[in-house]
Amino acid sequence: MDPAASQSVVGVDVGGTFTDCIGFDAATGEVHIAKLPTTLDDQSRAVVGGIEELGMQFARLDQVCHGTTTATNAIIERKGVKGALIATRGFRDIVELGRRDRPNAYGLAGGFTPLVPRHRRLEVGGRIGAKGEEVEPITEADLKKVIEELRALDVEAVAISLMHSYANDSHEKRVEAAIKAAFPNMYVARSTAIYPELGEFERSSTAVIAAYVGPIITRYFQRLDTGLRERGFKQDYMVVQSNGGAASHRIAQRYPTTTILSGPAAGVGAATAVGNAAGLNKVVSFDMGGTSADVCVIVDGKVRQSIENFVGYRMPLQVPMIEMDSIGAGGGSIASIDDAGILRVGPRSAGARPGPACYGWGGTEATVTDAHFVLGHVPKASLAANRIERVDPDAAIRVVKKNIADPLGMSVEEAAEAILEVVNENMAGTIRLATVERGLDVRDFGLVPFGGAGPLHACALMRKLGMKVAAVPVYPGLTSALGTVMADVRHDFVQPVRRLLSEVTRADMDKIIRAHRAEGEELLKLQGIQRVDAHDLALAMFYAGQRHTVSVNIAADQLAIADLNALFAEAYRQKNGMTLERPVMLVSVQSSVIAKTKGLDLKMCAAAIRKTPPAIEAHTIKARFMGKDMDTRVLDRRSMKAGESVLGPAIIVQRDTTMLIEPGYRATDSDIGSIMITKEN
Amino acid sequence: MNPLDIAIIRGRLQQITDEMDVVHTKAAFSPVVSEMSDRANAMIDPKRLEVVSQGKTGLPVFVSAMQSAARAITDKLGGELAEGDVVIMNDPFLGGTHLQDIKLLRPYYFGGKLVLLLVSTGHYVDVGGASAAGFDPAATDIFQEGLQIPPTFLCRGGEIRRDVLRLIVQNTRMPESQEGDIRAQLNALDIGARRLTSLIEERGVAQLLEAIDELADRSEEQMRTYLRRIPDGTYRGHETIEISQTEELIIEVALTFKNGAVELDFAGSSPHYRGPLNLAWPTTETAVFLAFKHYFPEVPINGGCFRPFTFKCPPGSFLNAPWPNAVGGFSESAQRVADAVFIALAKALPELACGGSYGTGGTLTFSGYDKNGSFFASVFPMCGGYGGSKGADGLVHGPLPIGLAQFPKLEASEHDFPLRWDALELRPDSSGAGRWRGGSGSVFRFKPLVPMTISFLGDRARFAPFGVVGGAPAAMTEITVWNKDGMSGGPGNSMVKGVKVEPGDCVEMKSAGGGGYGLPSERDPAANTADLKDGLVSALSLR
Repeated sequence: MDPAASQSVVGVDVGGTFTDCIGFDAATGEVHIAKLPTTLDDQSRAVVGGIEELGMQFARLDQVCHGTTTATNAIIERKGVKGALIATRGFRDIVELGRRDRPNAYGLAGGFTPLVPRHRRLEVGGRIGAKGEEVEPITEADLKKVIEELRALDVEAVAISLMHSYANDSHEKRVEAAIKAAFPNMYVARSTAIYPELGEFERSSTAVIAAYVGPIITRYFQRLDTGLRERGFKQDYMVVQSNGGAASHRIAQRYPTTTILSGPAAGVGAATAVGNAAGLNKVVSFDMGGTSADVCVIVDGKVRQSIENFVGYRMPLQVPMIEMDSIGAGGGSIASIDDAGILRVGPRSAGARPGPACYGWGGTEATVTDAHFVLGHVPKASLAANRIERVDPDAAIRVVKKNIADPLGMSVEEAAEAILEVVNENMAGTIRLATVERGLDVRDFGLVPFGGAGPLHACALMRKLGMKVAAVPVYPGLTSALGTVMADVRHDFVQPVRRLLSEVTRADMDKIIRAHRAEGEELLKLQGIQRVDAHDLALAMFYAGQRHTVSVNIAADQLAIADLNALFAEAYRQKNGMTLERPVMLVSVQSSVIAKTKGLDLKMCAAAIRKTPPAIEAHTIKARFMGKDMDTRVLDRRSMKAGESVLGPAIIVQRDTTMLIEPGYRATDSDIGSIMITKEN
Repeated sequence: MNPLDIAIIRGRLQQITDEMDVVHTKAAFSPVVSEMSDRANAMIDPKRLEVVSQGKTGLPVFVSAMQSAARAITDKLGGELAEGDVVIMNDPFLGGTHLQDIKLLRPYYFGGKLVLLLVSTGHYVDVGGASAAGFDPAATDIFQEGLQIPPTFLCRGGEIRRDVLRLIVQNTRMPESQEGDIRAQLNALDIGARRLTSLIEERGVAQLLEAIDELADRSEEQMRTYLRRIPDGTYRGHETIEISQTEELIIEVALTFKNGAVELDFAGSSPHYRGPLNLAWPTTETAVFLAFKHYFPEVPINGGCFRPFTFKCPPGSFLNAPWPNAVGGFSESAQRVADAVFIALAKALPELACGGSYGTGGTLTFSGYDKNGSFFASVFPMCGGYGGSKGADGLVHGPLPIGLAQFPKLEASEHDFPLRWDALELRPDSSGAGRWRGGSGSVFRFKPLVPMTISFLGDRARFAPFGVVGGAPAAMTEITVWNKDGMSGGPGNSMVKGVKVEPGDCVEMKSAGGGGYGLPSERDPAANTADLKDGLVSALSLR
């Protein structure tokens, strides 16, 4: 059904540890939330269970939106299906050879196991040249031979990736047709059907990954569909794709690789909406969980997409994904003293189990969370609000003292502050590098911190980066679930061009744009959507002779060929600080065909949160900031009225997270539901 | 020093050099820089002339080369350096490696005081010389290898000297790309300077200088801790480099460990010769440090780590060749120096040993005129297997252990150059047997679509990658070119020089695998069965 008309909606994000649910009931105006342990064997059980816990009737839900990690888990745990690869003769090993790299710059030990072993990598004759010309035909005998070999292998899925297929896919299509004819139920992943771009290794790897997880995703989506329908849900649920857009699960099944970064992409979508609502046109989205922090740069409501993504060493995956930088820094990151005798925090993490020492699950190493406990940043009230019962703050003191303070000759409080300072410095560095890579100045940005640990570090990051404002979303710990509901329905298409800009005509561009538009409209119609709200283009270009493209983003109806040279020069200058006197080449045209979602009204969320009574009375405790124990106000977010503000040092607690307001910063509950943090002059 | 301050400043200095790497790569023209990461950026302490921090993504072979370059530049121009200057140089006898690696140095001042030296190095595809794109296997002195740039002011008072830029650019076959790459390096130095200024504004010069001293001392102590793990004594390594079908260069190294320090003595190694495989001394040093860093990856790239090392090298050795010897094939010899050190270390600390890798920096150079009459020249690197190690079979298709450079996209190279690939695949029966076998070598084969000239400078066609702890050596390199005159190269050949090929001819490279670790008889039978099924080893070879 058309999402612009949705009213009662549920968003579910499945993470490695928890399944987060958020639901908005149109009839009552209430927002419900639930957090369940993820059911690792079959994620759909916790999804259905979570929606049940929200207490909303399945039959009355207009939409369920979902972010999933099923595909990612299958790859990481190597639990994909038995598949084969068909490659051009002479090139079947490309997928194992990769691009001649090693896992680490230093150290030569260790190897690599490809997803498809060599004996299941088959070769086929025929050859396409660089310009798409047929150099050698593919014969019936070639096809017959490969079908016989496939039969003997008894596989569930096949990846097809032939040389230069992005320029001419006829051979790939003939192989696909022959396989479909011989094995009607075979799962087939054809490289050009997923992403028709130059790069034999990247295309092959992408097709192999698709074949490896495709059948698993299909089965999962069907199980979840059955589970929801059995309970009365009447629609096709939506899935968030790695590009941040949503699609009906029936469409997403066709392109299983597009769901691999599903959850993190949803969080970025929510951060975009939160930033927009707060009037920030440049936003750094900062999602900090237990083991890692994801950073994303959003400008004018737009997130850059990247194509060259990796799901593991030597496993590139070419699908449009939100461009994100990750760092091994989270609440569970372990502080240690390295061989040089210097304090280091992360990338090792205590994970969900044993977790930080203060959680009492057997953790013996000092983590970031332990440091917060030592400093009084996580008061008892916060634990109650988070429904955490078993906590041992003394354990935090013990491990920080033994592992860090004593060896470095510091007090336990100094050591705890040092741990936070180092992890904050690491994260600030990642954010700074993410903006520099895009030619931007971080001081012009607002921060949107979320995830379980994000709001604890917001002020420190603002301080280190010179950022002036932060907007903390309404449910920081459930932001990805919130984002699934906010995601527009979106489909991306790409057409390689590889021609000098001077040779590209309006007619060429119109042809590409019309074809993408038609494909997009068709997919939207299949989801019951009869309109297109936006058709955006990303034109990847470089100066002839270069290798790294710079994209010009423009709405399809704003495109003027004559402007492209200047637009490219501007984009290039912004990124690299200079331009060159050289011909520009248009490498590819990517289209995003979008139908907007009404999503969830953030104001309503804010109103709903105030309807629930606060769990604690406001009070004052001692907590440590900048080497001093300070009187610190502790209050429940639910008790804050619109427009109410509190000057740091303060701690704002709510069910899914704890927010730390450092001295010199002010937190104001805005009428859009976010808590705005600003530097007090 | 306060433990927090030292941790923060170390992180920030690392980040600054990482940022320099990013800016350098993004703006570079040369695919060798932008795709193969053949570059590095660092900051150097001007007092002791030791590296303070180096970008994490820099090419390993530059591990101490930038320090050498900074020493040479300070030595030649130190008195004249002023704020706003940038010095350019590529003299390998001062800064190591070869003429293609152009180094830029910018002294960084704060409040009128010299605080650090920022250095950037990048590989340029062509710097003139007899052979397009460098690597002339026939070179007998450095004049044939291209333009030599002694330490020279490229910028003074913040302004580029157009005359110097023109002089350099006019000496290359690819002037536009060259100028773009120089500007990319200037950008990298600039971002380094800007970030240093913010760091100093936050923390003050005194604290930064104190941290630099302390980081060096701690790095030294860290290195000594690793060296103390090795029982005192002398361990020897012997390696061979092929310079023709009948001649070779010998590397002899003796590592003497004593109480957290090591002395390397290269006595017995061959004298320098009239060919391109000589090493300028800074290259030999960097190869040694690199070998240790592969053994102990936790070692930071900081000049303090180099302090426990002392060297002895007989004058006239090819590892210490004087100007004007040819050094264009440095990557071959530097790799073999590292291998000789690995062989010695495998005896000293077998737990951490790896079998020898295909390990040849060999490069295939091809050049000609395309159908429009435009000149083209480029290189394909060698590829092959790494050695087995305790617990794992070796990697296939690794970069040169002294480098990180990746292999170009085959499809892109067919767009860029008039050639067509026939195959790039694993080479059966090429890995060294062992309890953990080496990685397989590879085969690549392509056909020219226009007349072109092919040169190949490689190694490991007569002396195989070694096994360790009872593992077997791997299969060797074979270079073959077929043209109207018949076959050049073939088994036992790692070199061909200036062979003319035309459409219908074929160029093939079979690369070496990696050496095995441990006795082959101890290998898990299931692993042997899997190798057979995958066609990586033949039944015959398992007997």
